[in-house]
Amino acid sequence: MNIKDKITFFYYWEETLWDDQVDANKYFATLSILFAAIVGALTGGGNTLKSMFNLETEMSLYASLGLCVFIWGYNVAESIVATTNAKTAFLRSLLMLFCIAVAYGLGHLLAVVVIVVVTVILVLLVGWGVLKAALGGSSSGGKTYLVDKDGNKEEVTRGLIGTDLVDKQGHSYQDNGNGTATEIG
Amino acid sequence: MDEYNYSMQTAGDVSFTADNKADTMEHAPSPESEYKPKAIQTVAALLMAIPSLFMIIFPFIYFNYLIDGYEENAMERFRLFLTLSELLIAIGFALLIPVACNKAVKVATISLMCLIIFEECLHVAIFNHILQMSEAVGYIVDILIQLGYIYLFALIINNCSLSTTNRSWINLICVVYAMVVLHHTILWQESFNDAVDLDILQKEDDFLFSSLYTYFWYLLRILMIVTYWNFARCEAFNGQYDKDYKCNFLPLNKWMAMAVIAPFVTGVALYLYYKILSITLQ
Repeated sequence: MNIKDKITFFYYWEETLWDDQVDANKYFATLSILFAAIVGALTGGGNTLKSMFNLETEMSLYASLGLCVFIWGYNVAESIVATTNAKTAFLRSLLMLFCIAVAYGLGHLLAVVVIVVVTVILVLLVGWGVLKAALGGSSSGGKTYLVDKDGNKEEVTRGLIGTDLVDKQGHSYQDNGNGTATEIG
Repeated sequence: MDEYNYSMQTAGDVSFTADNKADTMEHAPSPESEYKPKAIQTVAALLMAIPSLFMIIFPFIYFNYLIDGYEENAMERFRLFLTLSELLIAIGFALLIPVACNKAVKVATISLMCLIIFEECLHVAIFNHILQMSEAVGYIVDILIQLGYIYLFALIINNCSLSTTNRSWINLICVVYAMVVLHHTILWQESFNDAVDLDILQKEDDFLFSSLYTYFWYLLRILMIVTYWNFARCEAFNGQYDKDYKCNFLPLNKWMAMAVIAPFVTGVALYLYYKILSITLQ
């Protein structure tokens, strides 16, 4: 499918719906629907970025919906001149309203979902990195030892949390994070 | 043997159908396949498309107007640009007059040229304070001019056999002019703003529509380039003047109906949308 087919998909779809009763412009309806989707995406994405990161990307939801109504008005006009009878013009106008509303909603929703998913992935990646650092290289296969005041060295294993240490006798220690550990209990 | 005969018969049928089709095409040439635009039409198309092309290539002309709109110089520069644009389109129409295919098309083309010059003279006179008219009169004159454009373009569509593609593009000109009626008359009036109590909805740069309207305006400009290109190169200006053609000058057609219904429906829809919104938000 080339770019020309992509920006005329509505035209080919409505040809199967109305047959020869509609003689509309090949590009206008499809471009209107795509534009409504972009307006939805920019509004949804902008407001999500504003609420999550306090960026100056806020866009008025009401104003963008008003713009969609205006775009629909262009398509009502096109429906009247491109159809052979009033009934088809009315039905096509309703279909365009539905398509523009769905495109706006989808664009809005997808933008929010994409931003949230990307943020969650980034947070998880950063969190995983921090966790790995907190584990102190245990994942690298190295061993951790505790050295007491007398210089006795004892091998310990890390617990699930990452900050608790357990020796072979079953004693638990709390990793203080500064190279020292305190026995618990 | 039977099978052989059958296939021969099928082949014959097919070739017979093809011959028939060729015959039909010879007697009634399809406008899309046979028609070739003249050089003068291409020149007119270029002249008509250039203003929209400039608006897109040099968006600062438009943005400067929006940003520095209250500075006198910016307004004057933009007015000069608009006047030159309209002049180019008028020259385009003038070039198309000698190649009009019948009386109705010729009358429509001459009228379009006169109307565009008249509209521009009016705007320049108002801009330079030579002519002053009340807001209401200004809006009524503007509505009448837009309706005039739609009637004249509809006259061309109705009085010659255009290809489906060209017809759909010229329809788009009528659609844009019809929405200009709404845009320049109802939506930007104070009364509309008061009626829907827009103060509640105001947010930074947003007026009635989102600031994204600018991009829709650019989309329309791109479509207008193609529209004027197809209009000037359409079958209505094939140069073969038909004296005996029975012209239909009646304004009662679906284009004029559209010019009334579409802005009205959209205006009512926008009014209801903002009214319900302002009541809900209070």
